[in-house]
Amino acid sequence: MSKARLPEEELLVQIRKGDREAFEQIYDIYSGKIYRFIYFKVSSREIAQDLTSDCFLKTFEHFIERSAELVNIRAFLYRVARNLVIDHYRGKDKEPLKLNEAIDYIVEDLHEKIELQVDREKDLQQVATSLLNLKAEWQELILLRYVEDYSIAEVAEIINKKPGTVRVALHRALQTLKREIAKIK
Amino acid sequence: MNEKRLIKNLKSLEGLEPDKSWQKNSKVFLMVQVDKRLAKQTFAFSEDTATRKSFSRIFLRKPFWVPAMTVVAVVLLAVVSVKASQNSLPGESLYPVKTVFEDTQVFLSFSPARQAALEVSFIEKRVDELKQVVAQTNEAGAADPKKISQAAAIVKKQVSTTKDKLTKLSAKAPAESVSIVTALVEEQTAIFTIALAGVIEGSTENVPEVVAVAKEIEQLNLESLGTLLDQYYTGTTKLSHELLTSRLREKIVALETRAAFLLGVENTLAELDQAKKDLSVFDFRSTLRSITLAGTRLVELAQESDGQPEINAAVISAPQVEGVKTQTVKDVASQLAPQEPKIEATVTGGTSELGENPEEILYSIWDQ
Repeated sequence: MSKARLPEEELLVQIRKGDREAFEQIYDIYSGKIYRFIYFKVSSREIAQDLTSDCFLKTFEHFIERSAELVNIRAFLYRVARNLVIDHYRGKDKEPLKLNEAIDYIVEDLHEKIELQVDREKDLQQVATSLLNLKAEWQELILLRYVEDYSIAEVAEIINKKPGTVRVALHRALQTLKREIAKIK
Repeated sequence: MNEKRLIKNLKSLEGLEPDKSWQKNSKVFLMVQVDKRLAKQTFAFSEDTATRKSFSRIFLRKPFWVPAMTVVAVVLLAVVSVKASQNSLPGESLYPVKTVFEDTQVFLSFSPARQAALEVSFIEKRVDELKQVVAQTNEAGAADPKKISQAAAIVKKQVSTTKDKLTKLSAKAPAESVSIVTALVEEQTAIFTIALAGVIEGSTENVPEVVAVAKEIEQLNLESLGTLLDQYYTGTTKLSHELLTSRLREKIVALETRAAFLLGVENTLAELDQAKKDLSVFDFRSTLRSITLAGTRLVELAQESDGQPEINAAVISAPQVEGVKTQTVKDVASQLAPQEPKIEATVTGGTSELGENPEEILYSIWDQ
């Protein structure tokens, strides 16, 4: 019988005791979020899937070896995900996709995954395209705050910055995003 | 677009979710790895728990200290025995403790997938023990056939147990789980075979028992690959085209590497060239057949070479012809030519027939 969902602090305690179900819960909570986080950086379903799997494996290895050092599962998962994307592009033959190719992939995925009316579909395409035009740090901030719906404090924990810094950067990122969208229109 | 509408649109991007079937399969794969890792940790956790018991606290609760001490003593004794047994080798007094502990681990893992994964990890341990036994007898100046035979027989038994678990898994578990565990077995057994090739090469004398073990593991490896191909072609699960390509390519490279050290391997190299051609057009079954034939050539060469260690080491990285004929190729080939079934593969934006334009096809490893 599966356990009721536990708060993350409790999950951390359970994982330290070697409870596999606690790790399963972590996967259930975060696999979609981490996938999206990586997907916006690599614009490929297949690569995002591979890196997401790697992210959870690496995280688990870390839990086993150095669980005492780990205090925030969420922040750790995102950090591992970010590093995996960096490592992925370190390979000689793994150049990032050109922007227009990346946009094509995401737009195609949007068509497949989200059913929308025509006007909203156009809106979403513009938003996704403009989001990809932003620099990586701002992209991350917008994704975490507005797509994943984390609070400012939670975003600050994930990216290891002060909440005030996050608030200012988010404001700038959003304004830039608006300008990018206006350019497309 | 005003800010409210922009934020609403951003929220909609949450709909860019991973594929559900990938998510499910990836979780199964992850948990198999987690179980393997936790199995290694089990006794470390037990030891921690036992040693954390404070003796002084037990003495303070005087009315209970005698039974409590007895329990602690029994637990400590068990933990110490289990720990000490972990480094024991076949034939040593603590070795049965080690195997009983492993049997308990399997017994306590109720999922057939977890049990099969554990059994594979135990093959690794048995192979490691065999390596140590051969190394010990090498150091002593001469291979001790009795000790090596005993360790080799234990590896064979473990291989056989693993096969049984895989059979049970195929009968009980969903096709996706079977694919994942089979892929794990295929991957691991390839590694074990290479390890054993090293043992044979490093041995000062002929070690036919080790060669026999390596061939059994290679056979399990090929059976697993045959099962994966079977699942791929029958569409039971949509295995990654890239995964199969890489596994087959690894086998070709391994055989080429081995053949490079031997003379009179023209036939082997010709078969390997054929395997490469078959692989270049994604004809996986023909590739496996050519690999098998290349292996046959190496086996023939070994039979003529009077069992020199380096020849045997070359051979064990080659498929076992008889085993493949009965276990893999026979089953696989019966569903192969003359008509190749149509393979539907996941592509970006739709489906495509395999071979139509393969380089454009983007497969996901466990995509449904």
